[in-house]
Amino acid sequence: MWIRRIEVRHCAGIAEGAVDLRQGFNVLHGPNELGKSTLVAALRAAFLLPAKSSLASDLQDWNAQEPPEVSVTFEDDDGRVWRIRKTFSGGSGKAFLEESRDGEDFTTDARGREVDGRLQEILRWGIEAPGGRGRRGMPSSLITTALLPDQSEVEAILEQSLADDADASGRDRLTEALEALAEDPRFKQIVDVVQAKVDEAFTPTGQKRRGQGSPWRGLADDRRRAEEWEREVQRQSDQTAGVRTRIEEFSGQLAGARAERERLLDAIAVHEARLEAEAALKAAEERFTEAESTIDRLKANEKAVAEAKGRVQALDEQREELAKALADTGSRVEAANARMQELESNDAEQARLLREQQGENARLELQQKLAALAARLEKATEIRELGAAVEAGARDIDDLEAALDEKRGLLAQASDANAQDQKRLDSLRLKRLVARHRLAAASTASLEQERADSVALESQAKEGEKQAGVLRDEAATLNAPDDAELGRLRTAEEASRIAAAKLSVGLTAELTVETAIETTVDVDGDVRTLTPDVGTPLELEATRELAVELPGVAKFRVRGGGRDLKEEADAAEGRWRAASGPVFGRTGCSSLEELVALRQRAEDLRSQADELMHEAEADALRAEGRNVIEQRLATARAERDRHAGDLGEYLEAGQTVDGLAATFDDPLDEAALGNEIDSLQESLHGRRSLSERMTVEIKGDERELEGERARLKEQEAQFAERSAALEDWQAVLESAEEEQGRLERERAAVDAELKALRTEAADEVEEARAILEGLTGTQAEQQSAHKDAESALGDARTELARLEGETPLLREGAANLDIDNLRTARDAAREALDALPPAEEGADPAAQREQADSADRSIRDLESELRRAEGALEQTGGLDERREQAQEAAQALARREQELELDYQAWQLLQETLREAEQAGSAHLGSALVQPVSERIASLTGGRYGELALGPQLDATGIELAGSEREFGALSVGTREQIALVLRLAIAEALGTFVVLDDQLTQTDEMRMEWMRRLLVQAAEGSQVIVLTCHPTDYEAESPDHVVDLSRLVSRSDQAPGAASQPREGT
Amino acid sequence: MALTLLHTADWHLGRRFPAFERDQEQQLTRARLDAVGRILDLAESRNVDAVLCAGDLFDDPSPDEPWWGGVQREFARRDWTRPVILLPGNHDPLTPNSLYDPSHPFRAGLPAYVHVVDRKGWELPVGDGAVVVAAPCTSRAGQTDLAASLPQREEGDDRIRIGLVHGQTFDIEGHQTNFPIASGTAVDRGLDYLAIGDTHAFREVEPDAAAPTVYPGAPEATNFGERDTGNVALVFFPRDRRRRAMVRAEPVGRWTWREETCTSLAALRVVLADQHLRRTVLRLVLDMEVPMAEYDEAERLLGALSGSMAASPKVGVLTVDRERFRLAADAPIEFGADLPDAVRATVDRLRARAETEPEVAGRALHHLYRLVQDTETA
Repeated sequence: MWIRRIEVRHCAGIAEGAVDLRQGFNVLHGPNELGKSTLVAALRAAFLLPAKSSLASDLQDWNAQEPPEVSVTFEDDDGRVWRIRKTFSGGSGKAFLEESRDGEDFTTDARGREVDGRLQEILRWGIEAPGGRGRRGMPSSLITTALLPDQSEVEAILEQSLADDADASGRDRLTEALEALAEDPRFKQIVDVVQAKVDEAFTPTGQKRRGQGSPWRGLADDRRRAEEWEREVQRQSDQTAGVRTRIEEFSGQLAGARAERERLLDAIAVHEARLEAEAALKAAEERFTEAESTIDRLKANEKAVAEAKGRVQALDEQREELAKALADTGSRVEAANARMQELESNDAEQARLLREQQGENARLELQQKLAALAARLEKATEIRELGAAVEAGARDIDDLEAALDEKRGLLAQASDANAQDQKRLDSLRLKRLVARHRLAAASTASLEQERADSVALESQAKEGEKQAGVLRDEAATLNAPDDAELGRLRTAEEASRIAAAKLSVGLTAELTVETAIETTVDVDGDVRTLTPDVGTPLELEATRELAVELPGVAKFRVRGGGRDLKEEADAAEGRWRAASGPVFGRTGCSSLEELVALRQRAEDLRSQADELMHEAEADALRAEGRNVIEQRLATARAERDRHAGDLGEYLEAGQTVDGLAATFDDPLDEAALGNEIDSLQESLHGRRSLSERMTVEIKGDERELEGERARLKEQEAQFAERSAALEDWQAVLESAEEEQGRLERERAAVDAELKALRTEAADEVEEARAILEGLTGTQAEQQSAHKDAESALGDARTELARLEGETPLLREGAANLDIDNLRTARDAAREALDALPPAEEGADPAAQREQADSADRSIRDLESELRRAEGALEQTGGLDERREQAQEAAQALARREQELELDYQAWQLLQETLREAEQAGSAHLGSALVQPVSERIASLTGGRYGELALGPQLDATGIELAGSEREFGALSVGTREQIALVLRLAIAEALGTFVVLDDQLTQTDEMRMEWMRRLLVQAAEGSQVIVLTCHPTDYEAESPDHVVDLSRLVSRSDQAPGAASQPREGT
Repeated sequence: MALTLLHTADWHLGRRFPAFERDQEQQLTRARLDAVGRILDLAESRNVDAVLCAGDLFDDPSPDEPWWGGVQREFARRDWTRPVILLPGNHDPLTPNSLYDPSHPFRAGLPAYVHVVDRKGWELPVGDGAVVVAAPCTSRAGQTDLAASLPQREEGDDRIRIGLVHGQTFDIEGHQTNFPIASGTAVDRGLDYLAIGDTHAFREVEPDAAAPTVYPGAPEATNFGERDTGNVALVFFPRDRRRRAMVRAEPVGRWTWREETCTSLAALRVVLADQHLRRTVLRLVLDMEVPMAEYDEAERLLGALSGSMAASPKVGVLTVDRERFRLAADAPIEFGADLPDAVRATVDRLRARAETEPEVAGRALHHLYRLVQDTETA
């Protein structure tokens, strides 16, 4: 990655500026106060600060109203060009991230808040994306500290660690970069193949590839097609099943409709046959009946003629008798009229009327007396009822007063009980307060003890760490070989041993001396001196080497194996010595076994140190809870003090809480006290509720009593008033019944007398009138009967004439009839009807006809539907076979897809596992950088400094000086600055990215400066080095790739308008 | 002989085999067309009097051009007078849009000696004193007994009468019989031979009947488990009409469909040693858990069978069911010396992973094993 261009406007003194950069070594120079550091700050803000960040206010140009604007164009490792554009204006700040393939035409990739998140995805600098919790100040990470430090933070890289990064992306990126530095070629070959396989099937984000060449593509398409086919066949099958069901339904309906139509037609046929038979029967019956009727009419005529003749004779005789009786009654009526005239002329009638008037008067008087008596009786009754009401009211009042007194008594008892309970409650609350105080005090004491324990643990942890450090130092001073070194030594030793063993071919020699001589024999290094017997062969056996020395005569040495084996053995021996010599020298050991033991000892020491560290960490972890203990302790103390304050008012002068507690008889059980208080409060509350209800009731009763009393008073007044108006009301009540009886008896006597008078006068006249009226009535009846008799006689004679006229016609009709034939015909018709099936009860033939027509239409419709359905079915045959085919295809394709999936999952798993194993093996990132950085520092310092101590998280802790590690604080400022720069350059080179050096190496002498400049040139081969300086001549000798005179490209905002030159390119 | 016929059916041209990979599917579909050429060649070499094709010649009534075009070209190559009779079956019924419709380019482009049964009561004299009576399927499904609709032998008709229909002579429990053919129809209708199609196996339906009723079967199998496929029927009618026609199955198919289950590497080796697999559709079920060396060998054997860019496959069409093919991950694996530490660590991790995910982790281990071998060789 490298920066192509920086543009700024209105940034902390810079009105406008634009700088184009190149890959390699860039030197940007300008005088002090021109704005070089502002450019770096703008660069940092562009990469790290959100456009709305308040931290960007440092960039605000005091000479301008406009907000600061920064634009940075950079190219990533894949050759894509990106441009960040940010305008920092607080809440209305704007940001854009644009992308370009050619560096000319840009398209927006992200805007606003998305820009910073997207940037961190691209850069992977270990910066948390905006929105994360706890993000304060300018975002920073180990990588930003290395690449873009503030001018005042030159050495910050020596205090930074990847562990401080807010996000793991920086560590991942560095891990990848440093792994690549130290990757085994065979491993890389495997990883490349695996990666290629994974790339075949997956995108970099782990998604399945869908494009051309993807292994999934054809298969997935085939499977989709097979599934679609299966669905289609299934759909057709479902439809077919539906059609079959419809056919079955239609067939069923058709059979039903046909049966119904047959039934209806049968019913109609039966009905019609019956109608026909019934009509025939009816006709036969009519004919037979007609004949019967004719014969009957003749007989009846003859009989009627005879009867009519008799009736005429009888009526004639009756008329004669009635005429005689009428004449007799006329004589008697005349006699009765004479008697009536005689009676109506008598004077006694007048006297009777006078007596009747007197009786009526007496009756009226008695009636009035009875009415007066009834009125008095009513008033007396009212007075008696009023008196009774007054007595009842008085009794009610007595009852109410008694009940009221009882309730008042109960209320008083409840108040007494409440007062006692309240007293008990106060006492219990005090005891509980004391109990709580004692609990809080105990808790405080316990927490104080915990705090003391925590302090002790912390101290113990520090001691443990210290001891662990001592053990580690001791292990380091042993200089024991590591696994690799020991492995190499073992290999060399074994090779030497094997080479030597090849010389062990077995040697046998015979020595025969001719004169006695002391002989020295060396058998495989075992040297012996002996004197062989003269002339007797001495057999000598060795494994690899045999030497015989005959002093003064000869020395003879025989070795096993050829020359080449000897040379090989010597070479192996030489390699073993060369390898083991320095190690033995460094460790003081003299054998491989001693080295192994030494290494074991170093391991034991480190193991002990680890154990101590582990214990120390555990202690520290336990001690870490002290803040919580402190908080709990403060809470407990506050609780205790609050209870003490509450108890203050109960304590007498000089009395303590414990003294107060001692006055209590019962043990202070806080929970039991609480329960008792709750119970008592509940009881108290219940009783108070009861008292309140009773008080309300008493008040109600009192109001009711007052009302009753007022009503009684009113009734008493009424009683008194009415008693005064009818003083003898009691006497009236007592005599009323008797007086009333007497008056009623008198009235009955008068009524009887009047009745007797009236009866006596009417009897004689009535008798005469009755006789007259009786006779007159009889006369009228006799006249009417005579008239009727004459009329009946006329009618009888007419009827007789009519009957006698019909007789010849009837005789003629009867003579032509054959009644037996007609009867036979009628019976036959009846039998024919009976032989037919019975008609349906209540059936309507017209309706049945309509139903039959409807059934006929249904049958035609159903036959049509059935034909259609059968036609449809004929076009969808063979579905079972096709469904099986489709299912088989879908299953086979699913199996193939699963197979492919498993295979690529396996490749993916292999890739992940290779990466994990690689990362686990290179988790110590520092080890990858130690060598190049240390070598450069050694070169810079002429070998004065040794290896840089870089931890797993690239945390630099010190540097080796004179055989021991020195902390950076012990070094000079200049040396620290140079070590920091070397480390930063190493990181930039590893990442292949830019690094900004803003007026650095100010504390570096000229000799080291020259070395550093060469280093910059070297570093610029694999990264972009951007130096900002006010001394451009310092770098002239190194021929930078790009030198920029900033004074020509940057215009200051504090210069007079128009004075600032327009920015232009200057190289 | 008075008459010799070649009776074939159920070519199912255009039938798809989507369960297989595309090139395999193409092979199998092509094989069907190749069989047509061989059938016609056989008819020529045996100098038959007529070729009767008893339905389902195409898998669909409107197949794509390559299928009907291929058949057309086979016919066009022959300058015959012997009639070839094409009968629409239930797969390729005679419908207005089918390739048997006179307006269809297939039908329109057929040479004169090829006849299509395109109505009920269809008749064609063949040979010397013989007649073919036929009835086509006009729908994919139907309950009509087409054989029963063939005309009865008339009084005095002493020709050899051959019936030609497509349908099913059996009832299967739960299976909807399509175009049923009642037993005894051949004799009932006064036929000397009833040529039918539908079933893919060669079968004489009523061996004891006076007149044979025969399914020739499909000339190439269409699925695993089909038996007696790959034939046509050659029918010989003696001059003496009282004698029964003789029927012989004549092989024309090239492809064999096989299913094999291997429970050991040895069994797999035996299967694969067969030299006649080039025209075999082989479904191989691997049911074994083997150590890495055997796993790798099995994979290499399977690779050789399937072929590669560099080598042609040994099996015509191969499908492998690996569901129960597992690596015994706990068995020792010899990866060789000088293994990079990270690779060794990867092996350990994958073996641990295989305890919970045997299938994927086992395959990953095998991939790695192969890569290690390959890089070592390189």
